[in-house]
Amino acid sequence: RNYHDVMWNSKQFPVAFKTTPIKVDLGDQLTIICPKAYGMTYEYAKLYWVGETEWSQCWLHEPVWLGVCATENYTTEVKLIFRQTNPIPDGMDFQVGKTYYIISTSTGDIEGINQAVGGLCKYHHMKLAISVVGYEKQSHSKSEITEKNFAHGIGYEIHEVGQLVSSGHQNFTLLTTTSLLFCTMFLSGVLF
Amino acid sequence: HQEVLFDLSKVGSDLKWDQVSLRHDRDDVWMEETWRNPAATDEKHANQRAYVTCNYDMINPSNWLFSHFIEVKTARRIYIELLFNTRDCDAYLNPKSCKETFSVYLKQFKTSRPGSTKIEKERFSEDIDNWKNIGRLARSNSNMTTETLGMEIDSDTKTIRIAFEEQGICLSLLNVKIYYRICDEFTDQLVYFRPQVTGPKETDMVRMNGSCIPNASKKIPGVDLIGLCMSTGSGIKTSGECVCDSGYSQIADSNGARCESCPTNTYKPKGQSLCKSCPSNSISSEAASSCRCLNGYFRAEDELISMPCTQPPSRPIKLVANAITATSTRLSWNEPSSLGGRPEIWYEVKCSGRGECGTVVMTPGDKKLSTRSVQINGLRPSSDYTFLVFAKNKVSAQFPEFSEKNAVIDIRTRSEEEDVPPVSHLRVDASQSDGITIAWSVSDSDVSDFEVEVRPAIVKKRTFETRHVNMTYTTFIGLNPETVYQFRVRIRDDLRWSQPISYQLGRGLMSSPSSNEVEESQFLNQTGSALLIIIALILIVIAVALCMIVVQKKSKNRKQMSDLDVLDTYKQDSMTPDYHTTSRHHHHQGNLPATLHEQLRSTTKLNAPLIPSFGSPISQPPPYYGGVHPNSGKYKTYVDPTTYEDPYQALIEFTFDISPNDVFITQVIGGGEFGDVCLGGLSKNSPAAAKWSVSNTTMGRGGGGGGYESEPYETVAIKTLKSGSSAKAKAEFLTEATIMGQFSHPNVIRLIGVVTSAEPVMIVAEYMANGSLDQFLRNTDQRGEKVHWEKITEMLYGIASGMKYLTDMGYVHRDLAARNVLLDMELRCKIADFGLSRGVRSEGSSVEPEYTTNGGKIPVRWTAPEAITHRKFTPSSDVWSFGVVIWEVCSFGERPYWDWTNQKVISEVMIGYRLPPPMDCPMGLYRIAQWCWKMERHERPTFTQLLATFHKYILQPTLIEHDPGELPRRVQSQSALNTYGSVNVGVVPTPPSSAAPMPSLDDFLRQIGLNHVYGQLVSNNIHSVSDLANTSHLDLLAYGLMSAECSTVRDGLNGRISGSPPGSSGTIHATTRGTRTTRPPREEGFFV
Repeated sequence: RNYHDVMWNSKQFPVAFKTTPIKVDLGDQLTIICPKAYGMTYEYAKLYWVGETEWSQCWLHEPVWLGVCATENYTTEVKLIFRQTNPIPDGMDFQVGKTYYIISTSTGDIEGINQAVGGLCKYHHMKLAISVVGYEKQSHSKSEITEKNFAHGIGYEIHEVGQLVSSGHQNFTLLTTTSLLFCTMFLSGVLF
Repeated sequence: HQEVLFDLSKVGSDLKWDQVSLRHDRDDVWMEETWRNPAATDEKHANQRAYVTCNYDMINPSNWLFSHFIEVKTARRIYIELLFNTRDCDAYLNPKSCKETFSVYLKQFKTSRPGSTKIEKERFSEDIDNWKNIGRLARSNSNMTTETLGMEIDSDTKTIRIAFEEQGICLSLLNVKIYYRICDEFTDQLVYFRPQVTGPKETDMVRMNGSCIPNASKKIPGVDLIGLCMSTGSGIKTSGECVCDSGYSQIADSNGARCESCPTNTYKPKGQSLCKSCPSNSISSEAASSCRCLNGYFRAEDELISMPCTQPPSRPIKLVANAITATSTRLSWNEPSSLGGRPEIWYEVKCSGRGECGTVVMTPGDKKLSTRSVQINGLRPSSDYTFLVFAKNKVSAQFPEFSEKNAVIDIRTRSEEEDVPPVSHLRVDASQSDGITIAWSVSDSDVSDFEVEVRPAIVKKRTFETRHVNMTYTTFIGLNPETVYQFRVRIRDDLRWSQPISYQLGRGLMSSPSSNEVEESQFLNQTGSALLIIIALILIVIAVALCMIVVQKKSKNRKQMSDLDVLDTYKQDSMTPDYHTTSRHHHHQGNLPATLHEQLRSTTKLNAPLIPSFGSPISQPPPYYGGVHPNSGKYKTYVDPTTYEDPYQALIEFTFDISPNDVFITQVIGGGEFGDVCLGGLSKNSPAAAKWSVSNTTMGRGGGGGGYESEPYETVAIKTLKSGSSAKAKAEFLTEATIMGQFSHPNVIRLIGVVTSAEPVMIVAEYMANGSLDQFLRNTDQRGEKVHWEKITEMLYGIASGMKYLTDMGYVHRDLAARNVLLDMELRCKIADFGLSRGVRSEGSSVEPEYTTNGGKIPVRWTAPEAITHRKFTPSSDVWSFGVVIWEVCSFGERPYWDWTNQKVISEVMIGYRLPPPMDCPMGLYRIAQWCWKMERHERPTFTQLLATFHKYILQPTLIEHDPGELPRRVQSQSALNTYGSVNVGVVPTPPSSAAPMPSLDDFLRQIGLNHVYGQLVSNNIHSVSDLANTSHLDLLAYGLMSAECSTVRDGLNGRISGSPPGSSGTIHATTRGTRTTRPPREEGFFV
């Protein structure tokens, strides 16, 4: 089972997800993290499942509500498992070979949380495309570190961000380290 | 309410619950996910957590999910509420196993902190039997399902843990909520119950012990305050009740019931519900159960706390001592100025001071005096005493200090020498035949209550009798003359009597000092009696004097009346002295009613007209009367007797009463409706006979009656009333007499008097020797005697004169006919029958009665048409009857219309038929008859005109034979007399189409109101208005008219001449004067 974590914040949103779909298998878990303010301005956002056209142009048409980032005092998460059969009421059923899209057209402040056009999707490219590429793989232990699929295919092993995020102070240090490593690899790639 | 132990929806972070897969080596079967709760209204709670498992691809799975440890606190029964959703097996693709149910397990732990929280697969396999399966659940809704499971908890359990097992189901566990129930606190009827945890079983009811709220206590001490806590979490009270303590009132508002303290100056005893204000003069502090009296105010021992507080009364006022003697005194006082607010009050009198109070006796002797006076006896002479008077009420005992307030008076008794008895000078004030009045004096004028003792008792057999009086005198009645009584008096409640006196009726006081008073009193009585006698004598003398004066006045009245009579006699020069003497004689004879009647008759007689003398071309004409005497200033009119309430009153007024002894009957000459018509005699000695004789003398009978003077009786006609007739018949019988008595005219029969005091009742009238006119004429004709037309004219003239008199009197005869005209010895016609003569049959009557027609008795052949059809009887209808009489006379008594029936007579007359002139009848007379028979009654002549016409015929007899031709209407002029034409006999004349320009003399006089002087004018050859105009003023005076009447005539003539220009064709039609009284249909007359 693979675990995919996305930081839903304009300053921490991965750049790669802005243009390249995330490839997942059935049984994988996607976690969208709404970080607390930490002294910065909190971004309010509503997340929807939409079609490809709305994903590309950042507007809503008969969307399916996925979750909401609305608690600025503590960190919350939106978790989902890619299943062919979803017992959650009004949940999404996923099929292998299809791509699914998540956008947020909120403006970031609490007054514009229900905006239906533009918003974070347009101005900060906060939108995801998820491609289901394979069936569920059998896994024997949760403690095994599985390979994470990133956009550029660099084969570096890192710790599961989900586990680190659950502890406050430690989470901050690890995030900083991860960011520095990521920049180093980017510069190396650019030089080469 | 629910006490929540755990709620998944309230957890913000991951739970990290343990999970075990027994048959597979996996630890990620149950995954935490986020789901959006559609019911959430808050954005912050939109992301709900859930545990999801969907492992239908596993073979025979047994995947367990364990909750963390949950402390149960005080719960005895917990509830697990689950919200979940599942997918059907149909949705699976290539399932290896599929279930649609899952199980729930629970395990209780006795310790609060177990050693390890990690579930190991191997140890769990061994311990799995300790987990209790509390439910197996399945989906019941299409979207989300809620189920609640209950479980008993042992009393020593500290923590529990929940587990879920799925075996191939696709399940999302959306929420897990664990709680237990508590009964909330509540208050009912001032009973408070604390919160209570419900019992272990679902049907348990936990007992709750209540307590009273603050400031309240049990209403009934022995009853416990019990309530029950139901497993549903609601509590109820089952027994016991509390009420607020005294001093606290119950308040019930939105904050619930409670007991609040009563404010200041209010109180609330136990058993009441509200605070009340303190009564008067009392105060209270907060939360008081009763009120305390103010300082100086008290409550009586038997009064409730709700009564106001009162005070003792203040001291009595105006304490005075009266009637101080050597050994006694009387104290009196007034009410205190303040009664302390209580209704009851009493007084206590105490003796203190220098004198010895041991011998003092008080009356009344009550310790509590209700009166404000006391008599004190037993004092020592010439000693000083001090008396205290206290006013007290029920609260005086509670205020000892107040007892010192009293009224004080110091007195000194008199010495024995100075003692004056309170009652003295007892004496006999007056004495009567059977009693005495005693009086006494009092030294103290304020005393007004005395006790009088008389020994022995007057009424009862006792030794003595006492009487209480409030005056200084009293009277004893009913004393025994043989007993000596002893009297004494004293002031009530005083022990000292006055000096007694002894007295015996007839003998006076037994002691010499009182004897003088008694004698003096007797002397005064004797003097009073003498005075009374003297006064009585004086009154008697005065009464006698008054009687004498009254007698003298009566004598004067008689003389005055006599003088008046004399004066009237002197005015009548023709009255003879004999009449005067006779009148005077009558005054001294007879009773009072007779005297009055005589006076009335005398007055009537004195006013009768004398025979007027006037010139005539005919020699030796018989005398006749032309009307009322000119000296008479009044014009009498007929009075209908029926207008009187009492017919006898009219009888007395208009008739003269004759003594039965003066009248006798010689023979019966006819019959009437009420009795016989008789011939009789009237004694000349009777007053009626004397008056009648004088009347006859006045009529000028002359020496021809010399033979009658020698006879002692006058011949009279008497009509009698049958014996046994009813009162009504008698009244009707006497009505004719009343009518006849009102008339006095030579051509109207005269009434002499009536006899009403004996049987039979009689009407006495003058006797007509020649009977009725029609009978007379018939007999004369049969004998072949010749009756000259001049004589007949004179008869008709007499009848017309009589009828004119009756008409002027306002009387309508209604039955004028030859049969009702009587003739005396000198062949003078007199009209008779005034209502009672009809019905008498004469020998010459025809077979058919004369008075039969529809609706009453009417003489059809003599009655005018309008009288027959409309019952309208007027002087004009009498004129018509006069016309028929003319015909009867000219035909010498023939019956009018011969043998015709009454109906035929009526029908023929209505169409214009008139009786034809009889054989040898002068046309002058017949024309007059035709004039009387005008259909229009206003065109008929009046009796005044007829009188003038007949007078002319008497003066010029040759006119009778000449036919005047057509007569003008109501006008007789000189020119008409000069025009004589011959008219065929049997032709009915037609009245002229044009009328004369001047009215007749009669009409003219009637207009100016002097129609009563017509006769005088006609007698002096004045027959028309032009003749009247040519007569001078002096001539009118010479004819007998008065000066005022002459002036009226002159004024009328002037107005007439100026108001009517010559040649005018208009005429003046005077309205016929109607009768003032309508008489009822007449019955049979007096004579027939």
